[in-house]
Amino acid sequence: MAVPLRDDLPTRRFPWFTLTLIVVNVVIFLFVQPSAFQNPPSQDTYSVAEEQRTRDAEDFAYRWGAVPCELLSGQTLADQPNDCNRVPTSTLPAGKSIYLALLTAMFLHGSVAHLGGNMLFLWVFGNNVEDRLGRAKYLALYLVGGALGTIGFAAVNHNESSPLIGASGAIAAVMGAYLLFHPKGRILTAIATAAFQVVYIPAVVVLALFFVTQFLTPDNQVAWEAHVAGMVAGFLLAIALSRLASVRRRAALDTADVALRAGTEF
Amino acid sequence: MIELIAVVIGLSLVGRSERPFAALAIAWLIIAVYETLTTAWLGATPGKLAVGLRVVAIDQTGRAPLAGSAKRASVNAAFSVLPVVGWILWLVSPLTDPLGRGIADRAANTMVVPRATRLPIAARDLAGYADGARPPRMSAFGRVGDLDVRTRSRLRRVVDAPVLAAAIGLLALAASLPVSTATLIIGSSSAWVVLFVFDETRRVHRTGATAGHRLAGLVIRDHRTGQAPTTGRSFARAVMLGLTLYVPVFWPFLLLSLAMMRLNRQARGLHDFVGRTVVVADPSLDPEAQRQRAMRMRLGRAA
Repeated sequence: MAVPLRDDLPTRRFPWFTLTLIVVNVVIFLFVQPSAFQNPPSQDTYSVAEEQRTRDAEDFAYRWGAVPCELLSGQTLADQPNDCNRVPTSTLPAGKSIYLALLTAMFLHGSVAHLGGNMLFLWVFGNNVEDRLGRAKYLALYLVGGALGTIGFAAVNHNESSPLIGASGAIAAVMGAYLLFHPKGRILTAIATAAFQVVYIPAVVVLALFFVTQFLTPDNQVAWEAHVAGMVAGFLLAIALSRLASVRRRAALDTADVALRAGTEF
Repeated sequence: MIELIAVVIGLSLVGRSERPFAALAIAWLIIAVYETLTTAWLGATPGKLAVGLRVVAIDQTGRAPLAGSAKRASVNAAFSVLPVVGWILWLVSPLTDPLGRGIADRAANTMVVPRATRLPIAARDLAGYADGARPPRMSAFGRVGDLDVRTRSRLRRVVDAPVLAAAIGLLALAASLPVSTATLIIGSSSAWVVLFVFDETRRVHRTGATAGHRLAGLVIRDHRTGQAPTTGRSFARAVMLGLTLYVPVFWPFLLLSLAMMRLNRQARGLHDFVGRTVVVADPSLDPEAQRQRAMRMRLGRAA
């Protein structure tokens, strides 16, 4: 268990897009998603209102979440395509836009912990990637990386018919880019094993740890394939983007800054 | 202050609704906007103005700019709406800083000063102000390292130790082994303490400093001879440090050690007594340069 808290790389510009992405995710989670996501209904009471809240949340997830089986078959679950796992409960939304869900799923979260963890990772790693890439390219990396993460998950679990939600794939893409740009960046990390401690460790250690532990995830609720696919996609996209002149220029500026800081007192 | 507490209480009552976290977010927004606007327009919140204080941005004259005010207010609001843990951090953080700068001030690079203070407050002068507020303690071998600088140096313990950093990564990876949580935590932590003691001893007896100490311009010296500690003493010191820092059973001793470092004249903790050491400013550095390095460590800008 390693949770990054902050890094010590300064940015040249204020990370507006990272902040905006965080605000959008948080606002959607708190005010747009059904209340059952932030305040799970109690299981042991037979309350009609509580059951209604659970159903609302399920309907919402099926309507706006990315369903791997739908993506691969091109048909909505309501049309009952072949090779899809049966969906036992809830009325399925009619007229769902399958490929729009690829985008909307990226802005939905399952619980407060899910949202909090994702936004923490985005805040720690996003600002420096935004600074290096520039805003438009950063947003492109985020959205394309997130979509590729979801597609990667779908490719492995092609019969899966439960919806996938979360910005994890997109954030893993940002982490992949960070790994390429700042492998030696120091990340202040809270660690639970190896003695409970908070210490600055190199980004390459934190990110490699994140990558490897994905393959060992025991929890079925975590779409670890999306994390792996997102991170690989982010790394490859970052390699492509780093060949652009504007990104190369900022990389040179960063190198010069590091040299300058090493030689000055303040 | 009072109005902020009222807002928190009011909204925590609303927070019993279906969307408790949304209520919390609204509370945060109200406090953040209120503080941002009053700080940017009036120079501080009405409460601060009433007791003759204002918020200034470091290295700048005039009122704190909107961006800085917003950052300060957001962090302040975030901690003040986070029950218990947030409140404790919020209240304790100004006490750990010699200039009384809390979490929000550190994040936004601002400071709360009396209204009559002449501006700008220069970053370069902060070290001097800190020494004015809390006179430096001296030992026979020079200026004693401050507690808050030393604790921050600990965060950068593995900065020049890639092998140790990789070891932390591998031990953290052990979380995926199919063993019980207790075995996992005890096993990986014991392994880490052994590695830590070995590395700490090696560094301290050779050079009298770890990477964190070096960044803060500090060295560890034998408190009688003024030389780097002997191997045996370095080992004893490392063992004490390893146990108090990383073994939860001994955390009460860590608290005791911190209190000792805060209170005694040479800022020596338990591990310093066991190792017969004292942590002092590196005599090979210019005193002003050392002071600036220590202040950079406080500001989170250590290179």
